[in-house]
Amino acid sequence: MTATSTTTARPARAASPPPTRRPRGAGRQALPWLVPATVLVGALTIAPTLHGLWLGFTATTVSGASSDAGFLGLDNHLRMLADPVFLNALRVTAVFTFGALAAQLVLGVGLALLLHRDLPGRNVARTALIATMVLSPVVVGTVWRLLLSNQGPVNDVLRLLGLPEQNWLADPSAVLPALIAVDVWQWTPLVMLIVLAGLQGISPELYEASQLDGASAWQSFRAITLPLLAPSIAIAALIRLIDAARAFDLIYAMTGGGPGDASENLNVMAFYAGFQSYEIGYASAIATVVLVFIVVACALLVRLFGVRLWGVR
Amino acid sequence: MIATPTAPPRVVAAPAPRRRRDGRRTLLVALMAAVAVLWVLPIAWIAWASVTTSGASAVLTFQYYGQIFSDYGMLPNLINSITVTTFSTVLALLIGTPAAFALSRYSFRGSNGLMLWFLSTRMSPPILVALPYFLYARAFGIDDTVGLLIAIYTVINTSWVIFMMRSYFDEIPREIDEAAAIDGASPWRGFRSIVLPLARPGLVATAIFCIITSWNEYLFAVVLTSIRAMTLPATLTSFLTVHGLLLGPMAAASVTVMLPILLLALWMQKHLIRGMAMGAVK
Repeated sequence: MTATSTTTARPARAASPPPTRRPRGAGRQALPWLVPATVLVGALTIAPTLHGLWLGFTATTVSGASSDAGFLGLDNHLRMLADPVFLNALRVTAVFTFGALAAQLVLGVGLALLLHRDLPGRNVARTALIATMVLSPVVVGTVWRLLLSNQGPVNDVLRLLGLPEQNWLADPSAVLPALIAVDVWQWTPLVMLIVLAGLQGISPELYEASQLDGASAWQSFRAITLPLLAPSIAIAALIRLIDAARAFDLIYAMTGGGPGDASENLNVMAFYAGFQSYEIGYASAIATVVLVFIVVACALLVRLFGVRLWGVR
Repeated sequence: MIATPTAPPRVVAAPAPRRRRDGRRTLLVALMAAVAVLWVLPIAWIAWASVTTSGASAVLTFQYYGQIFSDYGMLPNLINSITVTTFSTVLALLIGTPAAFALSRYSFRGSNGLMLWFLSTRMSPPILVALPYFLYARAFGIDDTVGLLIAIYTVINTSWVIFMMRSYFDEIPREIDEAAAIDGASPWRGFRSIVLPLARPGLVATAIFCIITSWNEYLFAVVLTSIRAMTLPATLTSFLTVHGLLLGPMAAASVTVMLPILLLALWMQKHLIRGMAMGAVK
């Protein structure tokens, strides 16, 4: 059942998987334990999700207290494809998601390797690093909005160093890299933690053996560390991919999608369409694209890594 | 596992001269320190900005905290945040833990599918459900109520609880609950008085996760509340819209939102790290 049961990365867990017991009537016995959670999640998550997907095919708007729906077929989706704001939002979503993901994976693995060493003060460093990932993205966005503002400390430092100041969040070409950098700041530690846990599961004997065989440090990294870390990296990548594609709070708080629509991803666009223009139908169609984006990207990622995730392929 | 790191299995290809290795070590420590500073500095700055007057000569002051609670009236929002977080965490643990135990112990047709059903809620973009929620809330006249937020956060947390607690239960040998059953305890009794106490660290870690999720949640809070039920994170952006970019009060508001969670994370660091590694990896 464990994600890594196909590898030897975590022998302690892989050695004693709970024996699969499938006696008669196990389903019936488990039923009372599962019903409350299943009903609750079904009624308040799965059903509204399906409803949301359906709304994308309707002309639902909000006028006053009532909402009126009319079946539209694919009208919303066709309108989307001709809407330059949508095409831009799709581009922003892809750039933000994959930009942040790539940087976080590289930096996260690097930091994990660094903190895995027996360096003095590494526990302090780890404590310092985990602080960011428990913060609300709204707070992070607000803090960095202040940090990057014209009179903010980042520009103060640049001035001090004699470098040109930047109006980070008002410059269409700087805003997306700035957002990616902030997301990297917040979430690289999560990747690091997951990879660090994976590193600690690798048996030291493997390195001793490869050393005896005369392998260089780089060779043993390529031949031992990386393959055995693949499941950890894959899961970190999956979590970050999903959350970066769903990102709303950070972007909304830091830039509001601006300047213009330079940093408006699909979530922010759907939010504006739904809760400012009150075009619930069109907003739902846009949100549907986020779901499709996530499903497709996750499928590609799982195939790329070729590992079992959460016991499910 | 991660909380008590063992000596790292580092291999150096050829024993380098001692001085060169020492130099490299110093370089790595410096790199690590630089990274740690880079991560802490923005948080330290916002904390500093919240307790000092801006300008050439900074003076220590708590006026911004006084302002946000008295002038801008953030106290009700703080109370809302505490209420919503407490109820949604407790309810999710009550509902999710038995389900997690059943998924760990019983294997039946569709048990994998059920796990996927719970996991799938993590994949869907929140905005997709926020839109129908908005319609329901208006139709039933329950928008801007704390109860609605509690219900939604409970559901979000329940999936987390099932996901994390199942992996903790998987690590408790089933012989233990089997022994309880032989002694005549009902499955529920065995779960309550034998397994659950053993899973305490897991419960703590899971509770921390729920607290963080509920406390930080933003989108639903913004969409479904306006005045009465608004939580702290939602006030941050509305504050910005109403009052503009005011450094002192905004810094104080930011610190008010982040401080409880930061303290909790520091205090419960061991549980948190284990939970992160566990919830993610298993």
